Amino acid sequence: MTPLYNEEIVIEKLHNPDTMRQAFGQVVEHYGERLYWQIRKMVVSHEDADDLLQNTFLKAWSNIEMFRAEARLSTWLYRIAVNETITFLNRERQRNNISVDSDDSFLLNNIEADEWFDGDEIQLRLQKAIARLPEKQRLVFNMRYFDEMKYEDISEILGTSVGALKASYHHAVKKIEEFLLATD
Amino acid sequence: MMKKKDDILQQVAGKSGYKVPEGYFEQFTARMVEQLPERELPKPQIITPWQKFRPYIYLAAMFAGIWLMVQVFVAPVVEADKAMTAANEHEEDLEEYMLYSMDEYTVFETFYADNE
Repeated sequence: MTPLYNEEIVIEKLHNPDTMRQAFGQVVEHYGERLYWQIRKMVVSHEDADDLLQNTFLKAWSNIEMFRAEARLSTWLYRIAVNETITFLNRERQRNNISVDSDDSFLLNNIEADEWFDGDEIQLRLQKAIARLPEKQRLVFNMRYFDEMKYEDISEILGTSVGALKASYHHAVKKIEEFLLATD
Repeated sequence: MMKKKDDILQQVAGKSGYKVPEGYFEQFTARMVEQLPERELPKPQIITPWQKFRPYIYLAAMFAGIWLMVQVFVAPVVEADKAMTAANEHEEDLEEYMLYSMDEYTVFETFYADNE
């Protein structure tokens, strides 16, 4: 049976060479799914999300002594995941000769054929609308709308003020609305 | 317009339409833990009493060195100056004694001898 997750105890174990591997397993189990969906909604492809999730945990594992107990483990892991995702998207844009200012709708080019997408027509339209948002707005929209994260938590992860995040989310919703109406 | 958008966001209800292979998350944990490279945390440094008191000992040694140098080089010069002053003072006393103890004839005789 999986032991109950207690962050305080897990953090303590992470700093003990004898228990760190087992404790890290608990961290992967506890945060893996949340981080996966955060990454997946940004990069679209399941294979890419899987690679990025592994990289996120490998980076966390190699730098575990850098994690200070006064911060939250979730915030630290989300930050690593966001950085990995942004690096990946920049690389993909370069590979596809797409300008930095362009949106990421190229990621959805083959979504209909993707075996790991089974969304209906409305979900597809929404995904296409989200993909047209600037990167930061996309991150904020995904965290707020899909993951229902608090603005304060998003603020800690992205290092942006709550006011700016609210504005960002508002703009994102407006743009999605415009796109949905235009493609209706 | 706003209502239509809200309808869509409500219909979607936070579901992205993405899915994962069956049992993906359960397998991911096991796969991830398996591929974690071996690593050791840097061992906490043990501070020996010598390391702890070393700066104070060095400081004390430095002051002792300065004190020794003062004793060797500065103190003898001061002592020599004091001895010289004392000697000069004694010389003046001797002159005074001799002047008082001599009669006028001897004094004049001494001055005369000096002027010659």
